[in-house]
Amino acid sequence: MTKASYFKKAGVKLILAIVALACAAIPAQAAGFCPPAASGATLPWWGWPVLLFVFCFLLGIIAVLAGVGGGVLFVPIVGSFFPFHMDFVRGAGLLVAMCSSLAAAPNFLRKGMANLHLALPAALIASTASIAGAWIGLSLPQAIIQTALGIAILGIVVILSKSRESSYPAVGAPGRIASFLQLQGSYWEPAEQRQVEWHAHHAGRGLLWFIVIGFLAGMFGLGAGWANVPVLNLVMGAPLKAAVATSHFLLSITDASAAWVYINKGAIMPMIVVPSVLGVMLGSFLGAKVFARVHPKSIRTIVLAMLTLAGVRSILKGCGI
Amino acid sequence: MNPTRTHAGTGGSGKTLEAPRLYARVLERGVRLSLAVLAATFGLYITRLIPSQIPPQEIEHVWQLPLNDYLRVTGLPTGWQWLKHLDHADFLPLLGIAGLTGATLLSYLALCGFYRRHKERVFLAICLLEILVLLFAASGFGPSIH
Repeated sequence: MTKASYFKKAGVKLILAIVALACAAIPAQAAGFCPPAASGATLPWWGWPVLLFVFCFLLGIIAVLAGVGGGVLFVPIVGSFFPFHMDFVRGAGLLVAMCSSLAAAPNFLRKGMANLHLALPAALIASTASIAGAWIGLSLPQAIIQTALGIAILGIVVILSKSRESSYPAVGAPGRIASFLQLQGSYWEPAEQRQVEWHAHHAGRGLLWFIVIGFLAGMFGLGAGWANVPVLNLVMGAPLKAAVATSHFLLSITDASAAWVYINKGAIMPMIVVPSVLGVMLGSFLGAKVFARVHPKSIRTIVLAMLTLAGVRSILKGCGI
Repeated sequence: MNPTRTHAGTGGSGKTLEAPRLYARVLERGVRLSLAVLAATFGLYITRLIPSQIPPQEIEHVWQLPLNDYLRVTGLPTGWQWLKHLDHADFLPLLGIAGLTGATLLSYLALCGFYRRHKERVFLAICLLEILVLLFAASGFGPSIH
């Protein structure tokens, strides 16, 4: 490696680390000088929406680089550090996750990486469960939701740090359900210059998981990429790229049905939703550009640390500490 | 079953991408239009060019309230009642939000046509059921909250 490229690479890593730290620091700093109880006392009315937009822009960059959805970071961090009630944060979180997926899904579908036969049955199960999750989430008191969210986030940290996804899992015979639903596909893999042919197995077990995934997505407004990918890849045996692409497509459907519940109940506040959605989408767009050149593992570590911090704070806030 | 057999509705190459491409095309158009509406209507709201039921400078007094208290204090409608208030700028962004959320429904309708033409009854049934689920969610039926 030449000296110039070494410094260029180090510079990019430094910038990304600063972006990640700023992403964590902005809401913490804002919460510090203007705690939720005194919201509006220090900032003008547009202060929090502008901070939210900047935060979501940085979040969009980080989410793409770390390979997680925006929703899973948005809800615990915004819920813990911004003055908005959790009912509105969860509604906004669903729309953030849904819009990120809506932006990514067409490209994955055109390339054949997102698989319709794999996604459609899973989406039907997950979207039905997400409606039930949204109903229950909107019925529970904030303290219970906040505590349960903290526990769920810490569980997600464990899943994200322990799961070792496989590019091409070893897959046995398709089984009856996988054969009936024709859970198979093919896509062009440019890195290997070949057409990847694949089929899924353990369809029954895999599809059952989408009841839990959909329910949690609707209840907490988290999106569910963190769970979709391990189930599609490790349980059902889809190649990692097909699992990631199908997960994006799946999310856009699951979150849409839960989002309708939040819209109908009046839990969608444009002043929170619009800066969040536009910020995350712009950030994801920029993140995808940077992603093509660099993929720093350290960003994932920082994201896990941010999630742990947000999870612990969520539990403390739920317990009134 | 031969696991490598290609199929009209799956991801894959050549003509097997017909259904995913159709879905992607409808989705992309719906999302682009809805995003443009969302950004434009939000601009109208925060610039206060059109009167709002809750002016933007007053929203900070209610965004920390639980949903039920927020609805009681503001008197804002639930369900589809917001369509009757489109003369207020704070309801206009809901057009964009409903468009983004409804884009999936339109894509499913397009997919139903595809599967009907190709006589794929299982996936036609799955798509029709998903449309029913989305319509049910959009209808506002369900238990009252809190």
